[in-house]
Order: sequence, then structure tokens, then C-alpha cells
Amino acid sequence: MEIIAGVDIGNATTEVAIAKKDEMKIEFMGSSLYKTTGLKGTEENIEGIKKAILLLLEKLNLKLENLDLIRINEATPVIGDVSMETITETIITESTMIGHNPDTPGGCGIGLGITIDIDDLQNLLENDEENYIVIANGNKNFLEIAKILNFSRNRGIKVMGAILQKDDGVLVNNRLLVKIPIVDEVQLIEKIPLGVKCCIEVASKGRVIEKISNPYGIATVFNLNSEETKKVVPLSKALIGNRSGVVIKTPQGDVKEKIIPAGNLYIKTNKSLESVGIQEGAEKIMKKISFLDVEDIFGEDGTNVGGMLKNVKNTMHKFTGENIDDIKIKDLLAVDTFVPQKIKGGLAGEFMCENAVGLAVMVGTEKNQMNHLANMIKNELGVNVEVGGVEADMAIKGALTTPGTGKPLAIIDIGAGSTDACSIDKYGRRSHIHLAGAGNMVTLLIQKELGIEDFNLAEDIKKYPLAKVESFFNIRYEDGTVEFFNEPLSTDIFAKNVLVKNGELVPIDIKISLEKIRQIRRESKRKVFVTNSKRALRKISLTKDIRDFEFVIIVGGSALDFEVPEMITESLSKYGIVAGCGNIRGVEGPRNAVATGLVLGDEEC
Amino acid sequence: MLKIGIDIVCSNSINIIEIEEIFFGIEEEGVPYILKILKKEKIEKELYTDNRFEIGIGISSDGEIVLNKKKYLKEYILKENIKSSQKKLRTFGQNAARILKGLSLKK
Repeated sequence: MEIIAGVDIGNATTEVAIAKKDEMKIEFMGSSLYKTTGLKGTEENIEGIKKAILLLLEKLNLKLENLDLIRINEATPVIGDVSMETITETIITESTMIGHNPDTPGGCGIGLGITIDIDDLQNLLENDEENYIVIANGNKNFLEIAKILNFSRNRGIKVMGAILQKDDGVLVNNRLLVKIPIVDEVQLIEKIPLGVKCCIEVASKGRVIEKISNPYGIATVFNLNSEETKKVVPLSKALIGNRSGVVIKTPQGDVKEKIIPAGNLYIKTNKSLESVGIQEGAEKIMKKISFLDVEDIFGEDGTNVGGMLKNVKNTMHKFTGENIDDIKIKDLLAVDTFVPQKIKGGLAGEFMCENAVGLAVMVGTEKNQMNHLANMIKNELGVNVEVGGVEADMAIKGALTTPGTGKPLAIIDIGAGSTDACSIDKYGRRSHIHLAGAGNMVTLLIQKELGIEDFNLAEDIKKYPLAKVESFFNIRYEDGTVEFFNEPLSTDIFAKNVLVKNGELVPIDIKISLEKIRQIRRESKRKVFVTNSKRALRKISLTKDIRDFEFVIIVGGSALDFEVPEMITESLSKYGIVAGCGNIRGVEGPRNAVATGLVLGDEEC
Repeated sequence: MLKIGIDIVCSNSINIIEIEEIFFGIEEEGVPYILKILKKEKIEKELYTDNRFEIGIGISSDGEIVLNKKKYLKEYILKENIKSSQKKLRTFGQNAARILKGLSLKK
């Protein structure tokens, strides 16, 4: 009887299964998992492999000497790299706006007039004909401002609105004899030009501005012709959903939405070289790729996408030592998304969601890397190491240990870097595919769309359910269920959106509603996981039809996600496919399929 | 007290000018408040949380400013001192109002 360890080196985790094996039977003893160290398929993996094996041996009261064989996956080393290309940007030149949304603006309604510094009000003659919008910087407190405005009003000066630097909008308004709309908390107030036409709008509580978030509203206010109205469309779009906003129009004013040439993608096939522009959007890119037999993909020199694809190849070259010309990008997943970008020319750091394309690419290299790695592990651990079969084949072998499964079968293995699929028919014939785009791509989409800097927070948003802290003693989960606490919750999370991470409440410090975060999270998963599951099944089907498959098992780390299996199951059910999460060996859940398959080795499945 | 809003119960040894930024903070958030001055050194929790919303601010003669709710069993939810900067006192007032409104707190 020999003891065998199956080791599956994944992009994110290294999984191990250990079993006693003789000619008659295989008895699995246990499994473990450790973070993959270094890039999958490289020497740096050894540390993670060692940790994962030793961890399990210790649990089983065994020593390295007791191991007869380690079998590693013949994983085609892949890098799934992800990137984001912004393809539009809003630039405001001369004409300016404050798409500002302070918590407590003052007053309500619309005010239209010429901008004037509050100190200049005293220089105006009594009963001046003009309408004015007053600008007050942070040097003045609200009492002074209110006093000056009231005094001016009494002198017959028509002050129609005010823009304040400090958070004093309500305080000023409460002390005015005649109420006007006031926008406060404007940091860059000194940048507001004086003597130009300006429109302020503050909506009443619970409502959003309507006039200046509508291009025709702006046209009415500023008396614009149709050509000029076209130019303010991006500006009005940027103000949608705000409770308050300011638009300032200068005579030379111009606002434009610019399409950035994000570069071309070139797809090499054995017959031709096709190209598609990133700015044409994900749908066109994917349509093009799905009809081609891709040999390599590269990007236009001197563009972001060109740099990104070159970088991926360079990284692979550095780790494998393989000639850079031999490293090919075999697959690419493009996803349309929106990324909040700072508006150039805005006054209060306004952001606007611009069009972008998210890209995940996958690079393949040659098999001999794994033999090299096997030798390194053998030298390091002093145990015989062999390279097992193709990863996807091993995964299907492992997946077949799920109770209730049988041939024919298809599996979808969704990891962090790639989505793999494999099918086996009733005669044991197999077909498999590696596709770009998996868990990491989803995290990137969440991170970019929510505009958060911390990748780990985006990763947590992907993994854990959301809740709203409703009081010091209860939270409401995104599905409406409520949890109560005996001890009061911290003021740091009071009334915030939080993640419920293994019992810990982690605040999400962004001004986006829980519903919107949830929507972005689910949409990102749908765009990557569901799209790739269908793409993968279509690719491994002999007839290129998803309906060929009756049963599909979802395995891999991403199958542990709390909503992904249900999403995929639902989308595949439309094709008459029964899909569900694997339960490897009846105990492991969707993980450990490849490691289990490696231990089973040549066993007939 | 039957009027709605946040109760502020203050020791009579405190000069009101020193704490007015708290009132302005509450006002900026659009929340009503009721100020009561008592001839007491220490302002106990019961004195300022026995109102319709069961939330209030107590200001003792030593300058300690505390926000609490009747059913919040810890010593205080927010704490500040009369010697703090105007900005901190304003934020304290805003946060007191924001707790009543159920909004996340300002820093």
C-alpha cells in the first residue's frame, strides 16, 4: 500500500489530497489548502506546495518520509491578467459646473444671476437691476454672511442664490429674511469665475434636481441654441441624481465628451490578422473573437492595451524563461463597464461614470515547465514527484466522485485567474478548454465601478453579503433579514453599509447605496462567470451548442461564492441543463476536484 | 420634556457662548433641540435622555460633553470637551443630530 498526494497548483490556491492506495482500493485520508506562492507553474510555487503538504501530513500524523508519491497537475501555466481601458472622458473647458452634493444644502429652488464676491455687494448701487449669485469663501462665518445678505436685500439688491465654502448652508438660510437656494461645502470656491451667468438649483428634501440635470433645462436657463445645447449634454448627465448643483456659463463655454482612442486589438489566426478597436466595446470584441481560431492576441504599440498585453507576455517570459515570441495570448474576455472618472474642468472634484472596457487575458506556455517544477519539488522534499494528466481531465475525474454524478458530464472549474471546462461523453472521450476571466476579473470590475482603491475591500465585497447598520443594536442584511446585537455597535459603523465578514462588520466608506453596491457586485459576476460558463460550454461542445450537455457540475474556488452557483444554475436551466455545485468525494464541496483527480490517476472513471 | 428633538441639559456654570457651536452643528443638520440649564455640577444621563426620542446631550460643570441614548447602556455614545476646537464642537453637534436622523457620522 502506498500513500499518494495529489497537488493542484491553482492561480490563487494550492490544494492537496492524500490517499492510501493499493491495487484493490483507494482510501482518501484528508485534504488541505494553502495560498499559491508565486505565479502558477513557476519555481516559486514550491513554498506553497510544501506548506500545503506539511499542513495535511501533520493533521494525519504522518511525516514526509511516509509519502510515496506526489502527483502534480500538468497545468498549462497561465496568467490571467486583468486591465481596464477607459474609452470616454468628459472635459469641461471654460464653462464650469459644480455637480456638488453636500449633505445639507440650504433653502430650495432655482436661482439665476451673475456671480459676485460677497464683499463686492456693498459697491453696488441701491436697487441695482441685475440678479446676483453670491460667492462666500471660508473666511466669513454664517452670521456675517446672513447679515450682509439681509442688508443687501434691504438695499434692493437681488441676491438669487449663494455658494459657500463652509458647511453653513442651512445656518445662513435660517437667518435670511428672504430664502434663497444655497450650495455649501465647495472646496475650490476660488476657482469660480466672477461676473458670469450662473444657475443654482437645490432640490427639496428627498428629491433630486430637475432643471440643470436636463440639457433642455440648462438651455432654457442660459438661452442656448441647439448647437450649444448639444455641448452641455455631458454636463447635465453629470448632475443627474444630485440634490444640488451649480452651472456657470462663460461666453466661450464648451463641454465635450471625448472618445479616447484606447488602441486596437490584433487577433492572429492561422489564416489572417484581424483587428478590433477597444473603443468599439466589449460586445464587438467578443463577437470577433468567438468566430476566430485564435493563435495569438496583441495590442497596438504605444497604447494602453498594447502595453498591457506586452506586459503579460514579459511577465510570463521572466518566470518561464521561454522565448517571448513563443508566448501567445490564447484567449481574452472583454466586458463593458462604467468607471467613475474625475471630470476635467469641474470645480468640486466631480466624478462621472465614463465608458470603459475591462479585459482579462490568458497566456499559455509549454508543458516542459511542469517537468522542471516536478524535479525541483523532488529535490526539495525528497519524495518522488510525477506530472499527472491535463488539469481539466483531472478535474472531471475528481468531479465524478460527487455523489449522484455519472457520464456523460461537463464541468466548469472557476478559479481566480481562469475558467476551465471539460466534458466527458459516455465512452470516456474528453474535450477541454481554458478561458480568460474568472474571480480576479470580477474583483477588478467591482473595484473600478465602485471607485475604491483597496483591491482587498473589492475582493471582500465580492465574497461577503452586505448589510446596513440600522441602529446601534441591529443590522439589516441585503435580503431584508435583520440581526440584533446585545452589545451596542461602534459609532464607526453607525448607519453605514457594511460587509458581514465571518461575523465581523466591515464598513464600506463610499457614498453609494447598498442596493447599488449589490447591483454592481451581481452584474460583475454575471458579466464574467455566467458569460464564461456559457462560452466554455459552447467551446467544448462538438456541435458548438450549449444544449449538448445535460449535466454540468461547477467546481473551483469561485463555486464557493454565495451567489455564483445559483446564478449559473439559473442561466443554464434556460438551455435545459441541470447544473449544480460539485461535492468532491461527498465531503469536500466544490473544492479539491483536481487534487482528487490526481490521486485517482489512471483509475477508470 | 415633551417637545421633539435633542435635549441639551447643561450645568449653569457653563458659559453658553462656549458651547454654541454644538447648537449650530445640530441646526445645520435641520434637527430641533431644547436647551435646559440646571444648577448642578454633574449632569446625569437620566436628565437628558428622558424625552420623546430618548437621546440627549449632557454638559457637566467640568466641561465634559456627553451624548447618550436612554437604552444605550455604555457610558456614552459620543464624548467631547468644552475646551475642544470650534470645529470639533460643531462636528459633535452635527453627529448628535445625525445619530437621531440615522445617518453615518462625520469625522
